[in-house]
Amino acid sequence: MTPETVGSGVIQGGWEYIYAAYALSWVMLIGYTASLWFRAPRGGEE
Amino acid sequence: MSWLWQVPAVVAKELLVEWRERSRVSGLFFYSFALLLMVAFAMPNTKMLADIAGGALWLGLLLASTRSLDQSFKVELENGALEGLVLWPVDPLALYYGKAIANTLVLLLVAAAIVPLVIVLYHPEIKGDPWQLVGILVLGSAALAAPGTLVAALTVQARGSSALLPMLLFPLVVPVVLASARATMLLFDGDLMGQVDDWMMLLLAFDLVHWSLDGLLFTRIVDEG
Amino acid sequence: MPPIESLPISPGAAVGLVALVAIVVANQRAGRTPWALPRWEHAFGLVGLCTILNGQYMGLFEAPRERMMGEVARILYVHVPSAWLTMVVFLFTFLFAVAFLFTGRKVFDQLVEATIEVGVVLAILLQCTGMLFAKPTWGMYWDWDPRLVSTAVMTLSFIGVLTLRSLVVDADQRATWTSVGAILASTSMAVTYYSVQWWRSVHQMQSSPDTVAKPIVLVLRINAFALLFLTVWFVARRWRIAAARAREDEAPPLPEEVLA
Repeated sequence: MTPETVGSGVIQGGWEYIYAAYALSWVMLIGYTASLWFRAPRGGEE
Repeated sequence: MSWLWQVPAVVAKELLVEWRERSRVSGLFFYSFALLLMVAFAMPNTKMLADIAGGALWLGLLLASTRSLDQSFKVELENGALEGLVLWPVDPLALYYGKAIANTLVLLLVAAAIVPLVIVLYHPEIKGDPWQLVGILVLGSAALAAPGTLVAALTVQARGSSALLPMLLFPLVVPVVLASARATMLLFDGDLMGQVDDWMMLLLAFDLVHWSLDGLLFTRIVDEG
Repeated sequence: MPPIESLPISPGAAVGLVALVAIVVANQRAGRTPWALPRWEHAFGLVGLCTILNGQYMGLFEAPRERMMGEVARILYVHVPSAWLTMVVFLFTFLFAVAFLFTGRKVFDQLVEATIEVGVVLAILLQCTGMLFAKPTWGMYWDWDPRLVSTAVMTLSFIGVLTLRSLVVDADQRATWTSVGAILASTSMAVTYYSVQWWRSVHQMQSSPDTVAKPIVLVLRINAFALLFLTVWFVARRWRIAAARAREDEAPPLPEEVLA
């Protein structure tokens, strides 16, 4: 980050945080789905 | 509202139990005393102690409260007296408010003992009005005791209750610790902006919510227990 | 990456079509109606999955760069919907807990259990994405901002309720204890919400749609509805588990010879 871009007031870059956030959301959604899958009642219910 | 007349009897009974087990209350006091010493050792320098005196006081009271609350229902459970209390014509509301008032009084007793210690050990300058400190202590102790009594009743019959009580209680009383510690520290430091009153209003609001709501919730617990 | 309109088919539509074909084929083979789903909630799950694929694609590649926050604002398409849904789910926890205490019906207890767990998952997602947003914008992952603190406090208290639930043996006691604990924890949720007004903070006030640019609002809405559908699916699935466990806990039916 150079002083000029800081001076413009707009935050530059940060894609690593964006990708981390989106990846994290998938890890959590898929992970919770998996935990529901493993705990799901088997047989007798359907 | 006939249960109101039973509250003093429950308070008296609770205080009698505390009096018979005096070693428990003095244990609370030494626990807080040891904690105050430990906090001082954990600080980078002793000049800081005056600034954190208010915080250390409330940390000590909070931890003492979890220890005393944890015991609050154990006595009855161990001696099978909870069933006895419920079978007696005691309204659950009277039981709750009696216990909560007794727990508040025990906390105030511990506070009365450790406030002088904090002043001696941490030597804060007291620039504010000392009577305001009494107000903060009363409001803060009541705010710890009201949800604390309910949570103690919730956890006493669960396995591993001593670990569970702080787990449920600490998140609930975050506003209490925040407001009381801020108010006390501001009071020690000289309350130039008049902020102590705002923090005390927050404590009062917390007290009103919990002293009214928690009694009702307690009746449900006793019905089921 | 090209805008979503110029793609031959949007990611969500592609997954949705494949899933529909798979469902129809599987039902044909089993001789069922082609559109049949084993459970109603799976429709929500499927719609949610397709919508979130499109929403995240738009959030990542299509939404315009925000005027002040630059690219980093794209994290908000994950963060803000999870904040809304956490609040909605915990509000339902509160309502179900009150309903249980008044009616004593087991279904409300099972729904309390389901909503607390889903709410905790959403709250953890909310706080992790919040930290990832805070680092590039405020320069630190965590700040002692009242809204951050109270969200963490709320999460902790609901985790405490789940722990309490797992430690109480008697089923009736467990149900009442959980509802009481959930109502207590919900009071911390009220503090969470009003803390914005109570204390001044660096966290921005809740923005209403008219303070935010139009395309950004659209992408935000798509992601919010996607997560809403997924949340309904999660809660329903978790409720099935709770209901099945409750049935297992119940005493088995008396043998025939005893009845006869």
